[in-house]
Amino acid sequence: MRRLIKAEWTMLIGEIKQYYLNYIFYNTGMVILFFGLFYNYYSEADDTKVLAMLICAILWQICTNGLQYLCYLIQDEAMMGTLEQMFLTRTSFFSILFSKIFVNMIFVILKGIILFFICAVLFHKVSMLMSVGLLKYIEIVTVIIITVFSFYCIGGVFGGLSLYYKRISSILNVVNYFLLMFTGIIGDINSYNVFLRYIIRIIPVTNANILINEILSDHVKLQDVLLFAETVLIFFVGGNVVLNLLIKKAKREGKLGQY
Amino acid sequence: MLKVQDLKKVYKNKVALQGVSFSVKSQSAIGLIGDNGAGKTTLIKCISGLVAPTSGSVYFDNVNLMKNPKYIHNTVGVLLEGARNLYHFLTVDYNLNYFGYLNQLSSIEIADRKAYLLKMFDAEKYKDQPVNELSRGTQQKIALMVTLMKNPQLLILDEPTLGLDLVATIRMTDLLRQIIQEEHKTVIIISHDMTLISGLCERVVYLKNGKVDFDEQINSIVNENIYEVKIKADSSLEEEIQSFDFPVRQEDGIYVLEVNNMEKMMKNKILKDNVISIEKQVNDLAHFIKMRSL
Repeated sequence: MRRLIKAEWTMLIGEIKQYYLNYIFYNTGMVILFFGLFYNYYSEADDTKVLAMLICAILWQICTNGLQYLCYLIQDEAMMGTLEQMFLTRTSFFSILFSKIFVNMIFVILKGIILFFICAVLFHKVSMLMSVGLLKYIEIVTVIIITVFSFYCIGGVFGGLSLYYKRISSILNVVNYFLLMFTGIIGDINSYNVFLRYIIRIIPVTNANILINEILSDHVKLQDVLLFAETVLIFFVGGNVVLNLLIKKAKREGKLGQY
Repeated sequence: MLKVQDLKKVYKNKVALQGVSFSVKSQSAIGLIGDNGAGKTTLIKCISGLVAPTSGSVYFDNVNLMKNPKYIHNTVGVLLEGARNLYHFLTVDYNLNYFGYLNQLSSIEIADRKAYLLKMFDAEKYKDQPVNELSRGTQQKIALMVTLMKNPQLLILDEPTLGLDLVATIRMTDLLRQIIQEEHKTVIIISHDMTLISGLCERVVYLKNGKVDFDEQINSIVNENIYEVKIKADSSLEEEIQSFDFPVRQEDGIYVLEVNNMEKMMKNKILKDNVISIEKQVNDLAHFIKMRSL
C-alpha cells in the first residue's frame, strides 16, 4: 500500500504541475464563494456561528470534491484509455481506487485547512480561532475526515454511472447545490418542512454539520453521533457495492474501454 | 501454451464471437487478423479479462483464466490500440514508475527493469520528457515499454504499428522481434499490416464474423505455388469449377481461379480445354488473405 500511495502522490504532483493554472483558479473561486457567504449571511453573526459556517462550507467543498472524484477519475481514465490498464495491473482495481482516494483526500483536506486560514484572515476572525480548544479541533477534524471518506465512497455510484452515461456532471451539480442549500450550511435545517428534514438527515454531511455545531457549542448529543455513524456506514457500503456491481455489468457489456 | 476454447460473446443486439477456438504454443507468436468488426478486439479483451465472455474458456499454462483473474494480472500484458496505456501529461519516467508500482515491483526492480527497457528501446533521451511532447512512433514505443514493465509471459498487442510511418514501423517490427527472441514471450499480434505479421509470426488466425475462418502456418501459405487461371465464362463449366475448392471470381465474362494444385486442375479435360491464360502469382500473406476473404 505504501508503494501505491507513493505512486498516486507521484501522479498527483505530475497533474498539479501540468494543470496548475486550473488549480489556482478553482481555489480562488472557493475563496470568493466563502467570502460571499460571509458578507451576505454571517457578517453580523457571533464568532461561533461564523466559525461553524466556515468549517461547514469547507466541509461542503471537500465533500463535493469527494463525491465527484471517482466520477471524473473514471471519465478521465476511460477517455485516456488508462482505465482498462488499471484493470490489467497486479493491484486490484479497488486498491488502486483506495490509494487514489487516500492521496486525494489528504490533499484536499490540507488545501481546506489553508483555505480556512485564508478566510479567517480575510474575515478578520483570527482571534476566534484561538478561542476554540485543541480537543475541539481534533474532534471536528475527525468528523470531517469520516464524512469526506463516506462521500468518496458514495462517489463510486456516480463513478459507476459514468461508465454507462459517460458525462454525468450535471447530475453531480444537482447534488452539489442541494448539499450547499439544504444541509445546514446556509440556513437552519429546523426551518425546512418535515419531509425535507427527514431526507437531509440521511446525508452524512448534514449530520456532520449538526455535530460540528454541537461540538463548538459544547452540546454533543449521542443520538446525533449515532445517526452520523449510521449514515456514514450506509454511504461507505452503498458506494462500494454499487460500484462493484456496475463494473461487473460494464465488463459483461464491454463498456470499460468505451468513451 | 494458450488455449482458447469455444469462446462466445453475445452483446445485447450483436453476436461478437461465435465459438472461437485456437491455441498458441509457448514462446511463439501468432497473428490475429480479420476485417473491421470481425471480433478481434473483443477476443483479446475476453482473453485479458476486460470483457466477460458469454461462454467458453481460456487456459494459459493450464490455468483457467476465467476463474483466475489474478493469474491474468500476473502473466498477461496488453497493449491496446493507440498507446492507450499512458498518462500523456506525465514524463516517460513517471509513467514507467507509476505502472511499475501498480504492478507491485519494488523500487529496485523498477529501476532495473526501467534501465533494461530504456536501453533496449534506445529511449534514455526521452526519459524526462512528457509523453505528449513525443512523436507518435516514440509514444508507441513508450506504451510498449509500459506494457513490458511487469515482464508478462503472454503479450497481446493490438495494432502496434497503427499510425506509424514506414521508418517507425520498421523500427517497431525490429523491436518486437528482439522482444520475442530475447524475452521468450508468447505473443498475439492484431494487425492489418501483413508485413509485420509475416515478419514476426509463425501462424495466422483469420477471424470472420466472430468465427475462425482459417488458422494456418505462414510458411505453408507463403511457400505455396499459386497460379491465376483464367477460363472462359460458360454456365456449363460452373459445375466443374465448383467441384474444386479453388477460390473463384468472375471478371468481364471470364472466371478467374486461384489454383494451388495445377496438376489436379489439368486432369479435368473440360476445364483444361477452356483455359485462356495461366499466370504464377506472387504469393504473400496479403494476397492469400485477399483471396480467402473474397
